[in-house]
Amino acid sequence: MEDKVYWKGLEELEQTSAQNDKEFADELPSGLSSVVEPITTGSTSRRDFLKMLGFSTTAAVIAAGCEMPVRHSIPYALKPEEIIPGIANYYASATYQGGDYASVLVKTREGRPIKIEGNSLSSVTKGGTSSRVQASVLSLYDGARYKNPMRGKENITWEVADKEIGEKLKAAKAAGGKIVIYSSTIPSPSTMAAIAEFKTAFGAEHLVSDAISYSGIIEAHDGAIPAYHFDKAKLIIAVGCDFLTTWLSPVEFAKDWSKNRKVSKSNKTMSRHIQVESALTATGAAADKRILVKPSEEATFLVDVYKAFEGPSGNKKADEVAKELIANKGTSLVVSGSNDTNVQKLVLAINYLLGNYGSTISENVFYNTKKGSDKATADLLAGLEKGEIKAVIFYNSNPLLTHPQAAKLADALKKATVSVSFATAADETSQACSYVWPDHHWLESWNDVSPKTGVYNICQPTITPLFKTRQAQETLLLWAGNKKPFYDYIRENWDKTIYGKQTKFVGFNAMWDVTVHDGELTLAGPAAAAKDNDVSPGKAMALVALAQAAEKSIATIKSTYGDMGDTQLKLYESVHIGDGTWAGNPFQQENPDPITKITWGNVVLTSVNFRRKNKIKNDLELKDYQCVKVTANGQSVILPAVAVPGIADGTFAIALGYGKTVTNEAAVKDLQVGANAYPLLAMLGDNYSFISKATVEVLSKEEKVAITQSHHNITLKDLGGVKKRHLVKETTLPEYAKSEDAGNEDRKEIMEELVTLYYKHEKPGHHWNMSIDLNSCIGCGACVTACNVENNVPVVGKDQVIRSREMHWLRIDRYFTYSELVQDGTDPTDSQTKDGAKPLDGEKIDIVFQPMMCQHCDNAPCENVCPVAATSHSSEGLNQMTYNRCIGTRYCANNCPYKVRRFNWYDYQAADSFDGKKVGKFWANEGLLSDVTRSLHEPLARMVLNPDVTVRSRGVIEKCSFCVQHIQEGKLTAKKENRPLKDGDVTTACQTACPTDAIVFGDRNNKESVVAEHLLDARTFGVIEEIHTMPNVTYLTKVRNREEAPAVKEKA
Amino acid sequence: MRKNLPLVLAFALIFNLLSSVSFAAGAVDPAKWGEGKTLFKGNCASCHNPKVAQTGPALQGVTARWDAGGDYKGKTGNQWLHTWIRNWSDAVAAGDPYAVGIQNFAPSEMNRFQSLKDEDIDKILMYVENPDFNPGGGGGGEKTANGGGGGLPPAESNNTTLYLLAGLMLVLAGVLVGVTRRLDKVVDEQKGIKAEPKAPFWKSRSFIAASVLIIFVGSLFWLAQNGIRLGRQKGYQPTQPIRFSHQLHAGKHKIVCQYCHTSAGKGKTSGIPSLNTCMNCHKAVTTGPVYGKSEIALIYKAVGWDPDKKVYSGTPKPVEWIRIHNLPDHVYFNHSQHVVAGKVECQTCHGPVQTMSEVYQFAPLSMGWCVNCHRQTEVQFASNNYYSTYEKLHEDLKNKKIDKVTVEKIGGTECAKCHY
Repeated sequence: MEDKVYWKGLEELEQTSAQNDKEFADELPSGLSSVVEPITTGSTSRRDFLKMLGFSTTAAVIAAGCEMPVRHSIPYALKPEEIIPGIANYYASATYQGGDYASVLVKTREGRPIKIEGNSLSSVTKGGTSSRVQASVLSLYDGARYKNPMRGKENITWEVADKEIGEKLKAAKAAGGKIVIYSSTIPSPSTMAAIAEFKTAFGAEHLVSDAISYSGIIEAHDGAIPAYHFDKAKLIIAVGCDFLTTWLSPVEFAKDWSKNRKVSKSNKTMSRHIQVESALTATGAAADKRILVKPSEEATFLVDVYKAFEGPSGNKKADEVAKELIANKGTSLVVSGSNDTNVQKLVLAINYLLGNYGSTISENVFYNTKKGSDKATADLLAGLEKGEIKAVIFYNSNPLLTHPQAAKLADALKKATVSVSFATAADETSQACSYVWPDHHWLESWNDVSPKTGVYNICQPTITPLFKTRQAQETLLLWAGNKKPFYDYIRENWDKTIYGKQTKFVGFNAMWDVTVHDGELTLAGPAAAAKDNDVSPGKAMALVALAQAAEKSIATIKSTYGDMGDTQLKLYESVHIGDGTWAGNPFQQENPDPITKITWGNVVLTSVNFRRKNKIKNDLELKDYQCVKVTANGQSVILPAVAVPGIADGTFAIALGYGKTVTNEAAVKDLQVGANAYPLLAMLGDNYSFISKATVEVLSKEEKVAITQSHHNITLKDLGGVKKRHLVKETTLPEYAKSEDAGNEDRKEIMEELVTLYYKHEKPGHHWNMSIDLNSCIGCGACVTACNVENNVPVVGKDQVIRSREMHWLRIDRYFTYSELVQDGTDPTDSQTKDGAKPLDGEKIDIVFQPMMCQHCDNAPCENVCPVAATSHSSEGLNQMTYNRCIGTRYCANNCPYKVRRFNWYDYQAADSFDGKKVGKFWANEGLLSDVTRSLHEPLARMVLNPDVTVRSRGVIEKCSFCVQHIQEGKLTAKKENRPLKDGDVTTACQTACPTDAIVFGDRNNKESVVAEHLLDARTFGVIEEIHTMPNVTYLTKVRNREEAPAVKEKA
Repeated sequence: MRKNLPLVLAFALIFNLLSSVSFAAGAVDPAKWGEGKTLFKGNCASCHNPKVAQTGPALQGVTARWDAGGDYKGKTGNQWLHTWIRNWSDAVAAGDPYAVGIQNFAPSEMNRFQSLKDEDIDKILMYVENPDFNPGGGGGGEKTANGGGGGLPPAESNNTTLYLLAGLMLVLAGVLVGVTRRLDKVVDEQKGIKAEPKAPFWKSRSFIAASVLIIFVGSLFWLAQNGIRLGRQKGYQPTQPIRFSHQLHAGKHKIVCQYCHTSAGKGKTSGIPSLNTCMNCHKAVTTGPVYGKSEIALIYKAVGWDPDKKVYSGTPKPVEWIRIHNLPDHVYFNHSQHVVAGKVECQTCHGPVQTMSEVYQFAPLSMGWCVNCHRQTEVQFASNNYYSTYEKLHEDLKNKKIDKVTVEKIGGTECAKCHY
């Protein structure tokens, strides 16, 4: 372990950039200083100086002479019983947005939703959340939301809208035209009932299609995707499947997966996870072993595995995988991210042969969250083109962005006599529709969700609708002649269809009230679940038949993927933007991608060897990246090329969902970044395929990419470089079984050597500590967004990110390393990096994620250098930052060895700006900032701010506070209840958001706390402890289940 | 019952207000009257008042009214009244015409009081008929415990006199110096000593240097003083949209602070009461002692209450009170921390509110003032179990190493206790 080398980016490994020689990048890198030109380049004359002096003195005098403004205290006229000003209320709800499901608790303050937490009572997501779910609260306060119904670009009233639409629908029906509702999957039973009523009333048709398609796996399973149990699997083989951050039900899977990744003194076993993939995903990064293949080989590899069950397949890697699978019969799980029905049929057959159905894959529980069919979209296009479809209603879908033939569809849409969109915010489809009937945001509506067979959630509104919107379901019911409010409709529907299936409650109201409170109703026992199935009971029989049919699939797979050439395109769902639903969410845009660390836009990901061969320019300092043109299926995009270690040669990966083109008045242009890659999707029969043959052309054009991987770098050359610092530590499971401090042996030595002249900080009461399990962290970034929302961390925009000024208090450092140990003491990467003589073997790349925030050092280097004592140490071990005392010298940031302190270069939150005139769409506060940041200064967007945390102004340093507002609240509650503080009373935002429970927070003085237990664990270490900072954040060594004897084999 | 305490207090107040009016009293037994009063307050006062119609009718003269209703089925009106009070529906079911006539007096049903004995009811009726009877004898009405003087005189006025005095002395000193000099000069002239022509003293270098220094230091001092004062507003006493008097409510009528400021014990803010809290009492109390009906009418207007028809008919609109106690945005202050955990009296920070007819800011609310208190105030170290985990401090207390645990000792003067 000693000699293992970690690096954050290629430029660091190759030492090509000047970046690494300096502890700090220039504050104003050359070429980027346009905005501050007058000050930096122009010589400030004495006259200017005097002018400024005179102005500031006058300003100070005027400010001093001002009266205090009269402030008002306005109580409720009639106070609602449940609201106590200053105390948050939590309401259980569920969200299903852009294909993402989570059961959640909504935190409201004085009637405003301000934060989403996971619902720990949920049997599906089990308290976990994702970055998307965390960020969705901001979309409630999105200025780009539709504020009233519209006819074309004209605002109309609901009365007019109802009248006109009624006539037009009737006319369309009378003319013999088809009426179609086109939507993404709707997992809400009551909504489906409402749609059914509408269908009956108008003879309409409902077409369901998801932007990120699951048609293949649905067809392979005869209509529904079965439930997966990653917690029961001892061996996981994921083929091109990013199940931890994007695929199917990532929050649930991450939670289940992590259960078997927690090793401790008493449990030295863990699951084994092999990832077979072409591009590098977060799931691949977390795997024990990666097998690198070309995109087309993601399909053929499975064929080899299937064949290897009977004898050598000719593919050694597949043979090994097959061998391990056979050793884990019934406790293994094979999943594939392919949308090819034949590939999914083969996966089904493999799982069936291994006896995984009934153990790691459910036979009678199915997902309701993915039911779309790609054929539906083809039908819509054909119907519109032929003129059969006269009226179309778009609900929760945006095909003009996500359809590969969006341009054709846009033309065809003009043939319809009436087109309606229920979109909440402006999108490509709604602006092409003749009417927009804005739906409520999910935080404003009653709804229900059934994510899986036998699981029901109620979504309750947590705020009165902000605009003149109307719930889509109510609209549909109204057109169908049912004037019932949707709340009553849901209740009736539940009474009719769900109440009878459960046995737990006597009386409908009892069931309803408890379900609204808890957020979830589960039907007890498999019998009840079976009753709930809409799939025929002959499922087990069908499985056999489907498995037997796999042989047929093999031939098709071979002909489809056999010869795709050396240049292949892999399109993938972005972790943060999803299918494009979150492209309008600033929090999501600024959250760096787990692997590439890219914000604000998509790029073409290439292998390192491709970049070296073509000498593609990557200037990390100026963030200039050379562009490539990727052509596939007759369409092409031009995007900057970014090489990532660990991507297969010949693979070019592009994220979907970017490149929005909304021209609506309220749309923020700066949010529409990247290029739309949907047109590049290939067709396999009726289904989209994420994989296709492509050609790539290197262009001379350069573009800026807001990539954060070299920001706040702590692997610096002048501090010993990447080789000497103990930033991350890892080991293998066999090593760990032998010795608990494997990979962490040096810690004992380090701790013994540390002596200090400083006095020790007394901690008479609590001593807060955070422990992060590197083994569980999947780099998904839910913690980053949760921290942003909780602590009012500003969004700074692309331009500022390029200047290394992102304000995130918590970042996730992603380190690459070479998985092979050094035998003779030489650097294994040396021969591969210097001149590119030997290609870099992407399969041997390991990735480690390390969440990095203020380490709250007990010997904090920042505290000693502050000239005004704005940062100080508390008796509870917190490194406190006092904004109102800070004068912005940034000495602390310079002296911080972890680089976790952030400086407010601008008044990003408009904290102390006076209201001025508007510049463009938004207030002129800090006019130099991006429109995205300025759009968040609007009163509407500011409703999301947490009132318990100060909004920082320009010129001060800020950083992680360990969510001190939660600490204070927890202590106060204990004091009021006259009891000692218990472990778990105080949690941090990052901790509660984490879907894998990687982050644990607590009082180490409480010997019963989990944190105290972790501190005694031999895996615990602090980052660069050798410099004696005594951090209060510690990490647990990463353990990979690989080589020698995998633990799973012992039990098999 | 505890919840009703403020209500009871409120009615006590009503009686006070009305006590100047005297009703002719028959033979009143002070002991029974007293018991009747207690029973009335415990059972009836939430809906009835002897003189004012509330949820139920005004009760004075109720016996006479029932008796006037005449005998029925061999029972007198008074006896039917007893039946009615115990269970009004019995009287209606039996068909007593008076009972039948008044059963729809109010939209809500009257409670049943089946445990009340006849003599209890008699006692209540004795009280109801003679609400102003004074068992102690003497003049009308109970004495108010607190005369309630005006607000504290501003402390600065004393200093002003001192400054004036000092100024006067200075002038006097100057005059005296002048007189002495002149006398010296006269003496010198008489002695024949000729005064050398001197440059005036204000042209001397040392004087100019000294005055520049003094002016510079003085203006620095002035700047610092004013800078520190910036944003502070001790003594701030704005006129509120409704002339609500704490002196009357908290002082004279002794309504506890948290009856209205309910969230002081629960949350961050003490909570300005919403209008429904006002209406708990002011549904009945329609006239105030100082402004009569005018100020109370403002509440009615805001809440949309029609005092004549006794119905809520308007749209409630919150009252925009002027905030007196302002902390900067970067300060986190929690009332419940101080009121519940710290057991600090409201008056410690807010001053003698019970004597303020118009509230002013009593404390400077400066950081120095906060920190000082945190240095001096003891926490509830022994009585609150939360502190049981502070083992070392408990030991130090036991070993007499320290004599008390102040807020500072548990970290109460650290930055992140209030700034985050």
